[in-house]
Amino acid sequence: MKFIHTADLHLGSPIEGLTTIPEKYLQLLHEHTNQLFAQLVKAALREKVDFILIAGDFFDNHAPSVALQVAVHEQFEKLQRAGISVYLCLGNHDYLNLDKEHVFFPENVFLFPNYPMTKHFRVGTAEVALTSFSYAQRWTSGILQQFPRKGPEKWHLGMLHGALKENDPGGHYAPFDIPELLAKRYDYWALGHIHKRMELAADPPIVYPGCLQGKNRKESGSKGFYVVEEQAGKLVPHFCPMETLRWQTVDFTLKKGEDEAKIEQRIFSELVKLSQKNDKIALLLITVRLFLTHGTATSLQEKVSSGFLVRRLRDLLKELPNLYVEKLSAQLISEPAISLIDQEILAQARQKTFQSSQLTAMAGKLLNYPFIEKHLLEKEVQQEIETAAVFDLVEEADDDENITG
Amino acid sequence: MMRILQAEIYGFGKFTDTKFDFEHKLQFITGANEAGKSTLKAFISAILFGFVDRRQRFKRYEPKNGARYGGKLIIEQEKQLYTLERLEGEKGGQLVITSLNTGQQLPASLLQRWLNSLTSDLFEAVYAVDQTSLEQIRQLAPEELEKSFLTIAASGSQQIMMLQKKLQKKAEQIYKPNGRLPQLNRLLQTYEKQTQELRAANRDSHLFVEWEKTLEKEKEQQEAVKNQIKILEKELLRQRQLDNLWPTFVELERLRTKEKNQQPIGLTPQEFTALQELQLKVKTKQDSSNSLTAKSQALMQQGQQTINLEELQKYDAAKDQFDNLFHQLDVHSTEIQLALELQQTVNQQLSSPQAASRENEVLRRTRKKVQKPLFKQNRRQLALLGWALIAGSCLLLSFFSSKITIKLLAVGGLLAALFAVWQSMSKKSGQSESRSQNSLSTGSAQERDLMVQSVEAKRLQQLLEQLAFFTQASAFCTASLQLPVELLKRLARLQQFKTRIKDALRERSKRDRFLDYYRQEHERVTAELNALTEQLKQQLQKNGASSFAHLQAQYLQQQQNTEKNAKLQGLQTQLPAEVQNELRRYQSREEFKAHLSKKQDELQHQKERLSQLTVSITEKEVRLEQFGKSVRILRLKQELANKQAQILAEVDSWLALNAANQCLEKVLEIMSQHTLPHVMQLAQHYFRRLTRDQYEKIVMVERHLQLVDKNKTQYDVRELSRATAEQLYLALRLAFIVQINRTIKLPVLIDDCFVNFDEQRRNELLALLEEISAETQIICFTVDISFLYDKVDKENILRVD
Repeated sequence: MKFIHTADLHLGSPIEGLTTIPEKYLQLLHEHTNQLFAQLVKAALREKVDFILIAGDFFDNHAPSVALQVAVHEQFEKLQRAGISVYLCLGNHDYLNLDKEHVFFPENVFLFPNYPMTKHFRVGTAEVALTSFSYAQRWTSGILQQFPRKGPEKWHLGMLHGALKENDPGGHYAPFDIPELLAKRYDYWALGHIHKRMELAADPPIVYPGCLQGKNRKESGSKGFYVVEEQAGKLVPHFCPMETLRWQTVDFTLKKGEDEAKIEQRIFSELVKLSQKNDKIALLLITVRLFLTHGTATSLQEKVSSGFLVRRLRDLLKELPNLYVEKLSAQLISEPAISLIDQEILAQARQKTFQSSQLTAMAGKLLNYPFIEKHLLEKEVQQEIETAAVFDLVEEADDDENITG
Repeated sequence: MMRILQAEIYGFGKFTDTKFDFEHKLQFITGANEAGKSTLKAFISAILFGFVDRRQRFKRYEPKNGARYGGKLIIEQEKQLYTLERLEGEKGGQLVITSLNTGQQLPASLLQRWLNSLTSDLFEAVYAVDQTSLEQIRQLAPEELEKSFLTIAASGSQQIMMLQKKLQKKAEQIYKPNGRLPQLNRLLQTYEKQTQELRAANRDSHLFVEWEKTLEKEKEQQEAVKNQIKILEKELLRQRQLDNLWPTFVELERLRTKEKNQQPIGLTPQEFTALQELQLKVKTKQDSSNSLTAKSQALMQQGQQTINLEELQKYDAAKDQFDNLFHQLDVHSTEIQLALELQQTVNQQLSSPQAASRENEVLRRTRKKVQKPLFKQNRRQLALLGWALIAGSCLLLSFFSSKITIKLLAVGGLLAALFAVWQSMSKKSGQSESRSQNSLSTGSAQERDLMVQSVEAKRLQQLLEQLAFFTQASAFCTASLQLPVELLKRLARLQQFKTRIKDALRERSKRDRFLDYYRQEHERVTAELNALTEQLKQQLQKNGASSFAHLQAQYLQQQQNTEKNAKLQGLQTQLPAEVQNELRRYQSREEFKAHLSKKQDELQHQKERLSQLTVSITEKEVRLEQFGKSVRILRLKQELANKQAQILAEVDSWLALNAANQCLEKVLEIMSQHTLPHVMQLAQHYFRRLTRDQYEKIVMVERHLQLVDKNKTQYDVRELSRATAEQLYLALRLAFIVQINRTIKLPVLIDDCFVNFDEQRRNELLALLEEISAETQIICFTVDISFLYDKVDKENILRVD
């Protein structure tokens, strides 16, 4: 028996965080959603799997566009022609009240209802049972107790879109803990909801496959799906990376005596190597983080904050077919001193200013936009703003010096 | 406290190798504009804090005349004298500190300690009070004035406030909460629009469902119409087929009517063929018989016409006798022949006497020769005999003798005898040949003739005697054949007759053989003919026909019928019963055709309908396909996401600037916490002095400055006159300096603040400065010192030219 386990495709959601993108990648970006699922189907056909488990958040929202539905339908039909079934459950993003809404999928696609149900089917001579359920609304409380224990069938699989209790204090996403899962004595737990892949256990395998495609720079690294195969009476998962878009964060620390030209060169050659090594990947979105010590790199800081350096790098790298530096940020390792202000006082002032509540208070009406509100609540973002503020201060103070006196 | 006592400039700005002595705590430096006051100020700052780096050329004051850049200050710090020498070099120049007391060189870090991490900026900001900053006060909006004062009070200068202002300005360029033009505002507007667009697109996609429903219906209709068309077309096809069959149908009907008239005779083709063959055979046989008969007749006629018929008849009458005769003739043919010849010869001899004689001679000779040969022949025979005897005896001798020599002789003799025999035998034959030749040739005929004459006649005579019997023998036919009396003639005639008869007989017998054959054949053929005829008759009778011709006629009729039936059948298969029934329904072809054209019209109508539907469906399908295929919504979503990213970037920038501003605000807060009360106290004092008690108090009410005049009237900062505001400014500045000097003691550089003061104020300021200078060195740069003349010692005034 061989099957694919995937989840959190979030089909229909765009790639986030790109302020600019060159013309030549626009097409890729616009069509990446369709491409994504098509590639998965291609892989399924290639691997000749028996079925596919999609553990929730297949669509990004509960009202996917018609074009998307049509495209998905086509792909499902391809699978149907090859005799591959699809077992799908809905998650907290693409939830649906199945009493009220009807979904039209081809015959080979089985959608689990809003309550835990066990589907029996055969793979070759083996009896297989699969228990799962679909979200009817955004939040679902713990539901694992309604999953039955394994019966006489050869394989009993569980598909669950949810979070570990410890990570879900609000209890919104069908929370569970590992002992609970193990108690059911299933042969494989196909989880979904967490975008970073992780294997919570090996025997039986309890797997978060992670999302199929990183949507922003926080979801960097290689993403993909799991192919689970029967080996010596056990189910063994192994990870298969996708080769569409990939986010990658690359860090560079300014070395002693390294000037602008040198660091530029170093970044350039490193990225060229990265592009060549990953030539199968359609587009690498690179986030470059520079770690600078103050004092050695004042002008470099300025080049970063003004956007000069990132533009320069993009220009240098524009011949590469599959790499784009989507962001360049600089982090200071040591604190800058502002000549006008006493170091200690400045530190104190900083501390007082950069409390999260302060920042959000400053935002004012901007918080009316949910995406802005969400953005400002992130710790990383707050830190970045603080760094930028300090940069601004330093810049202004220096600037000031040039004009007056 | 640090006191600058002397400045020695090697090369700085316009100064080269120039010394300035600052001995007094309140030091005035005067000179015309451009005299170099700012240069001096910069020099002091440069020595203390380092040369400004090369990027800021204008502030370096590098000497233009090639003098050595740098100089030194002699300072007094805690009662000790030091030289601070700074020369061109890295990191702001090379500083050398020398203790004047000990001559010892001290580490440059000492200065840092004295300066207490004060930077040149701060020094400039705080310790340099100049016209420019005073100007700034004037330029401040009333609301900013207070802030400015507070800033000064807190930090000693407006710098921080200025920074804040700049940050604010930058922030406002990005975003104003109620603005339209700043970057972020515009982005947000676009974002709103794009969100609307997406919403609309999503809404449009619901239209999709409606369209799909209509499309379904139309497609159903299309199917129905298509089916109709199919049915109609089928019908039309059928009708056309029927149309084509119409002639056939007509034919069928016609045939059917004739069908009933004939009856078959039940004769199969094989049977008929057999009979036909039989008939032919009969005919052939008949012909055969007839031909035989004819041949026989012809032959018989031939027989009748033969020549010698009479003679044959005669022969036949006495066949046996004639046969005998002929036999004898044969036997003696040679003699007869010879006789005839002899007769001829004799006759010739007789006809001419010479000839005759000769002939006789010849005859004689011939006879002789005949005789001789005969004789010779006899002699030869004797010779032969003799040789034979010798041979025999030799043989005997050879066998029976004992002596070899005799034997040999015997053998030899034998051989010789044999040889002679052989010789003579060959001569004989040759001779006989030559003899006959001789007898025939006329060359030597004369001789012969002569010889023969006598001989011939004799011979002839001999012969005639021999043949005499023939006369008798042929007596029976003498009359019938009219035979001549003479024997030879008779014989000759008989021979001729014989020959003729023989030929005729041969002919006759041949004919008879043929006739026999014909007869036999005829018999046979007739027999067969009869048999066949009988057979035929029987067959004919069986089939009820009187003759073969009759039968044939009947048979042909039958065949015709069969053909007709077959044709009928064929037509029937072409036109099955239903078809016929259908066709019968129409009275005429015209009616049928009318029906056909009606159906065609109907078909046309339906086809039109179909094409209309198809057009409508295609339109919809194209639109729906555009929907289905369009990545529009995805593209909009992605653009929206990109826009969000841009917005967030701007929000971050804006917040950073705001935060920086806030940070500075906090800095001020903190700073003011430390210093404000003291500064306020001093400032109050100074302000009172400067305003000559006009204002008594400076009060802080919830971070607002209030001035209280001698009448206890509280004034807002904004209510102060310009001049008074300047005084407050100075008061605060000086207050802060004095305050800060408690930790960092540095000289204060005041640059021409007196310019706009009236005399009164000037005096007050002077007094204040004097007071302050007790603890802090004040170096005052001024253009106009007229007001100082009577107030200050001349020594306190340093001229710079």
